[in-house]
Amino acid sequence: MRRTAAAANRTGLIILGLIAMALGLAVLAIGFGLTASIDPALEAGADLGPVASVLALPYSALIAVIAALILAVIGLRWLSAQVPRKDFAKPFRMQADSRTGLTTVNAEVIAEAVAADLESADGVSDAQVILRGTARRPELLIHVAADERADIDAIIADTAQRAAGNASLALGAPLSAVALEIAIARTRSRRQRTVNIQ
Amino acid sequence: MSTRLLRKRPARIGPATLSAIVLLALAVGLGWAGIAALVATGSAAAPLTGTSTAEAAGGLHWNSALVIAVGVVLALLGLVALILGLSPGARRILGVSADGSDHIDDFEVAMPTSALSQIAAAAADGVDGVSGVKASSNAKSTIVTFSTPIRDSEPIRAEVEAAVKDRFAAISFDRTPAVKVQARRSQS
Repeated sequence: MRRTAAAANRTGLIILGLIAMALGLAVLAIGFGLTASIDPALEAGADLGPVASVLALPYSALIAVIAALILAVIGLRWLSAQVPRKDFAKPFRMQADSRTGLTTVNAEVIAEAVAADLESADGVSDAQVILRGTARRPELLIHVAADERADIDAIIADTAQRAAGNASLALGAPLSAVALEIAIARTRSRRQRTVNIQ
Repeated sequence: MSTRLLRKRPARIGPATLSAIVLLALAVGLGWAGIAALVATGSAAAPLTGTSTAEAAGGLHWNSALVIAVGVVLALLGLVALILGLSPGARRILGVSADGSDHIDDFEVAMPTSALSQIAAAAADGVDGVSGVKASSNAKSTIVTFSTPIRDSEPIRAEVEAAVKDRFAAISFDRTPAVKVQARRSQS
């Protein structure tokens, strides 16, 4: 339900994969003597001296530090993009005329109210709601944890009719999109759920 | 809406995190060596050599086992990363069809495959004679494995299969997952 950097991850993995594969295959090609016909210096029995001599060039330490900085920036940005984001909507501006004042409502506040409304339904033990979009075109993302024996279709109908109706009434606009993900609440094992009747 | 709000395929967070950490480790190593060389010579034109690893690497041959091994590992890791990036991966949610209402323009309902397993396990758990249940699911099917102390488990197996299928039939999935039930005799 939260946003992740799925596209960036896949692009990054493809780029890294291609680079690593190209390097590895190049090393193997030289090692197995496939490149000797192209350049006699690249025959299988030659040593890695020419590669190592690149490191002996002047300014190579400085270039290494700069390359390290660039790699560090890419690595840190990629790592920080892995934290899933909720991306709530910006506070809704609800007033009809801004000359008489502004009315702003936090999306988190409405989302919490919708979650509390959902939790009052039968078979729902926990609900998390994210509100995105604008006041005119709100989008609701709902994660519901249902009881393992709950009537799933009834929960869906209740969400669509009652909870979404209440949310739409509160916002004064129809919901442009609602996404509902139904998970099952973790309950204790059967032994612990047993009730003794006296 | 053309884009779905619920993500169907894995976002590859694990491999991406690992790759980012490898990039950071490379950066630290490279930066360390660079700064060490700069400090040692005291001039901006310092070369990176002088370290023992660089000299040892220069003495290696292209067809030595170590170089070939590095090449194989690099090529394999690259292939794995490429496949992870290109393949869509297993679906993590199942679509559930649902009627919207007047308040909703676009209604999308889904259930993760883990929820499917839990529902199947709970349904199987309700059958008499079942002492333990495990269930695993993908987007197309669920495999329920139950244990029972009864010697002839076939009647119970049929009952468990019926219970799980009934439970799934009560949920309006876009495509109802197939159910496979296996019995395992528990020692008792």
